[in-house]
Amino acid sequence: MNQIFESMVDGVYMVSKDYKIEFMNKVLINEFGDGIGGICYDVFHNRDEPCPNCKIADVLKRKVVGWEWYSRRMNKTYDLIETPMRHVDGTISKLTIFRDVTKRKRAEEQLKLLARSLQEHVEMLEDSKEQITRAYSLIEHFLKETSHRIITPVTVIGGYAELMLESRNLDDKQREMLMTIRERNNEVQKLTGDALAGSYLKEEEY
Amino acid sequence: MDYIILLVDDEEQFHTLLPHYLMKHKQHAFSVHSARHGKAGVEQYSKLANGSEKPDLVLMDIKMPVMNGVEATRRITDNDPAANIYLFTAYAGTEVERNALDAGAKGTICKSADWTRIVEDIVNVLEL
Repeated sequence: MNQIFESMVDGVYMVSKDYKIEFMNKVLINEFGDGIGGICYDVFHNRDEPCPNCKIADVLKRKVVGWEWYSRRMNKTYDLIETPMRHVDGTISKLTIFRDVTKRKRAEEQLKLLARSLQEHVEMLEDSKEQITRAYSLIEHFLKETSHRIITPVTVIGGYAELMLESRNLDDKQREMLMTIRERNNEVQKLTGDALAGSYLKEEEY
Repeated sequence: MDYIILLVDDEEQFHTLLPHYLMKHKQHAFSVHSARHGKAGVEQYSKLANGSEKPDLVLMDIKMPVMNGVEATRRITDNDPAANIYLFTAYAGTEVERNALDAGAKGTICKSADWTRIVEDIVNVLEL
């Protein structure tokens, strides 16, 4: 059995009902030093008395307990599985498997930070999108309102230009200038029509 | 045929230009009455209608001082649901136009640099 425990990459130790360490594999000895024959709460926790969250009572009642433990001394997090181990003489010890999950825990923390940061960026983008939409809407409103307002003077200019062109007292130059006014005024009307149709604000223009 | 038109518009120039262009029409004769804001338009309509000169067509601007075209349209049609009111506006396709149509205007004649087109639109409406 000990050979199996020695070949494991996880730490393994066994402790009697009176907290005495009966076995530690090399992984655990390398991590915490050789504590065989010592008291578990002293070896692992530097304590003078049993830990308040000790699972030995449950294990002696033949329960298997799994829990996570952070060791401040080692600055590491372990997943612990504690299970009863019956000896040939009928006594029961607590067998504990230590799995170092520090890297996984740190990766999880990192992932949480990244997720939070991502969420913040998404919120910022949503804010920006809202601001852009509001600005776009204001521009569109301004363009349309201006276009509507321009139509009234365009109607007046067009009306008077046509009216003056009816006069017989115009020389060629004056007639030409009036025709230019009329034509350019028609162009302005067309531009306002385009603006009202929204053609200046089509997405593909950008 | 002789038609009576009431033009309600705060732009002074339209009161000069519209009679001029209507006068050039060869098939019909027009008598154009003027009001410079909505309230005056309501009063003028009532006066003409009571004097047996009910306008065949009211050309109603929308944005005007004192009383806008939406309210003036509502007041005229409240008294005379058959009033033939058309909006004469640069605000076609807008919410204010829809409000005026809801208030009882029958349609819209758009302001435009092309006065031949404006007169054609007016005659078409009158010949309906």
